[in-house]
Amino acid sequence: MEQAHEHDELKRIAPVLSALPKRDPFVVEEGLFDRLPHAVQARITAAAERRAFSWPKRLAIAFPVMALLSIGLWWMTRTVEPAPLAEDIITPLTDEELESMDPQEFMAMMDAGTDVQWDSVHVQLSDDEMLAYLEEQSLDLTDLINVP
Amino acid sequence: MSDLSDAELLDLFRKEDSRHYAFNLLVRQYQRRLYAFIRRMVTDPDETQDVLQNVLIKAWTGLERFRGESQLYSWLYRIAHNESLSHLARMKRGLFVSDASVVERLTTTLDSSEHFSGDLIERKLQRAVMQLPPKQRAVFTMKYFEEMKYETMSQVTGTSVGALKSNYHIAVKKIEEALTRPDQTKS
Repeated sequence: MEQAHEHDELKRIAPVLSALPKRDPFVVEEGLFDRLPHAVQARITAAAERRAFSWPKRLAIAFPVMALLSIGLWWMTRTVEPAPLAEDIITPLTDEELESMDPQEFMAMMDAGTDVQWDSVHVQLSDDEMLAYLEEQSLDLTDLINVP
Repeated sequence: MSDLSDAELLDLFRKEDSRHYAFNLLVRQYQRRLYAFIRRMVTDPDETQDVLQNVLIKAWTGLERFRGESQLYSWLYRIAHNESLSHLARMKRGLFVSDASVVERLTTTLDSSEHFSGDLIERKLQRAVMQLPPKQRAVFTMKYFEEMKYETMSQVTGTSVGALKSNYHIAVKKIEEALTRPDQTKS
């Protein structure tokens, strides 16, 4: 009823237009309507995947990586304290204390200083001086060598 | 397979395991009608495909919130209407030109397209439709070609029935005038 009235109205105000056949003159690309649902689903899936890798997830990965990198960087650049030198560790002794010291006791004291860098202790004695010292101390060289 | 009702489609869509299937059915059910409307609005077949895909992506995103206040068909049409108008506005902004230049471009696309099978008078009609401002073109297309009711058109466009009637009346007058005007260009 309403449509018939509208058509009459159209005929009255636009006789040429109302006389035209209504058909769709646009040609649609072949297979478009078979492909379109798949194309749309593909876009929806791609968008969902992009959303899935969202900022919270990115941060969840980025934070541990940053932490590991920071630790590595600190480890590579940290300054290592050098081991103390023998001179810094050994308490200077007076001549009297040295004379009164028992050789066994002296060796035991040396053993206690495990961190001592013996390479840095420079004792410059000639063979004669060393023999004189042993003689003065009444020490037998073989006894010293056999000290455990 | 026969078309499902809106309620059946929406029920299927709301179930997680049949959501994609339901949407696929929806696309197959409405794609031709939506395509025809968009094609009359933007003319170019490639641009029509782009716009239609955008419409359907928006439908996917919004369907969760669709509460059935209107028919699914008019809801989809509303998206297609808005998306087509936005596309034409973007085209105008992108070209930095006037409405007349956009119409000229659409006419050129129509004339050079092998995807138009209309005869002389149909080409003349389509040219006249393209001369209408975009909103008026949408109203004319919905009423004349799609034979949509004014109430549905009102839901689609968000315009009152009275305003739509007068807009259509003006559009029809313009088209008739263009159809009866002697040809000044070769067709």
